[in-house]
Amino acid sequence: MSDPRDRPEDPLQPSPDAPATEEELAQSAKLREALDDPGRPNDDAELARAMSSAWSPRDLSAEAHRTLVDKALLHHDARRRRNRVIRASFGASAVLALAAAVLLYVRSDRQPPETVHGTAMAISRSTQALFQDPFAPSGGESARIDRIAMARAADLRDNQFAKWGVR
Amino acid sequence: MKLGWLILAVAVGGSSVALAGCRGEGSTAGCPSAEPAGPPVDEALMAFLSAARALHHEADVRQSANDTAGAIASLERLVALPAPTAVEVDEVIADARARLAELRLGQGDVDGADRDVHAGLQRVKGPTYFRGHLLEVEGLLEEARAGALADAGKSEEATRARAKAVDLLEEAVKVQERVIDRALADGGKDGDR
Repeated sequence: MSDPRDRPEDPLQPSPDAPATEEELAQSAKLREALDDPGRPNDDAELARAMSSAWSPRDLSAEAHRTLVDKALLHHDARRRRNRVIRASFGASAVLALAAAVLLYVRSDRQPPETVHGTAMAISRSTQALFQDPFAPSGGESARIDRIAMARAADLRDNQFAKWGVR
Repeated sequence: MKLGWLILAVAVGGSSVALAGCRGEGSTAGCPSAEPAGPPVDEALMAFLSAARALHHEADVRQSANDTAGAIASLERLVALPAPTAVEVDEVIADARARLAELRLGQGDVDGADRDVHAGLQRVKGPTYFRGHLLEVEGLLEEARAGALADAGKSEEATRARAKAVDLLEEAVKVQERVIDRALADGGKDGDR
């Protein structure tokens, strides 16, 4: 196996002895700052710290500890906000369900028709439906009571037949 | 805490929306009191209706013989009949009250007519032709009262009575319109018998 240093220099690869570029200088400055301040996000600094801790573990500095706690609490706050939104959604759903229940209760307040031998009985109800037009200003009362009495007589007859089970 | 208030407000609002359907001016269909479902039609109800029918026809006979006092007496017996609790009973009595009021008005008994109209209106609260008719009779009553007041030289009171007559007749028309709207929406249900 030959020594790489014996190989002829590749004109496309930068020379290790070449002066640092501006970009490299900026990156090294960022890494230095990140190593000094654990609060600054930097992957290389994280890796360096992890390797250092693996080689010689030591107590966290107060600053690093605070940074970790702040990060953890940041996640916790985000989760709390999410939880609040979920609770509000459930609350709103419950309220809508309550309103729907009230509506159903109100609408189902009418009693179901009584049945005999499986046949619904004619029930007492408004006679309004027997009349198609508004009443004349005067007169017509006897014609109206005739109509009402005849309609309910038919209902009573039906109910009697239902009771006897002959319908 | 703010969230709690918000949920409470929405709860109250939601419940109000649920109940608002029953409070609309246009229709009360679907509300508990709009279509009261009573007991089955029975002999007691039929007996009342039969007696009421007989008394109306009796009043017809007496009216045709110009016996207005006799006709009034027949109708007074009708409204005093023992009756079961039923919507039909309320409507028939309301109609009889309207007829009584008209007869009393013809006799010049404006106060008596007024009492009958108000007693009838207590029986029929919802939008029905029965209520509309009673309001119409009350309007005619106020019109007659206005005429009498004007004849007596009480022009201010006559003006007030005239305005009340117009209001009542307008209200009667509104009730009738609501009944017609509901009837058209129902498609004439129960009107075949």
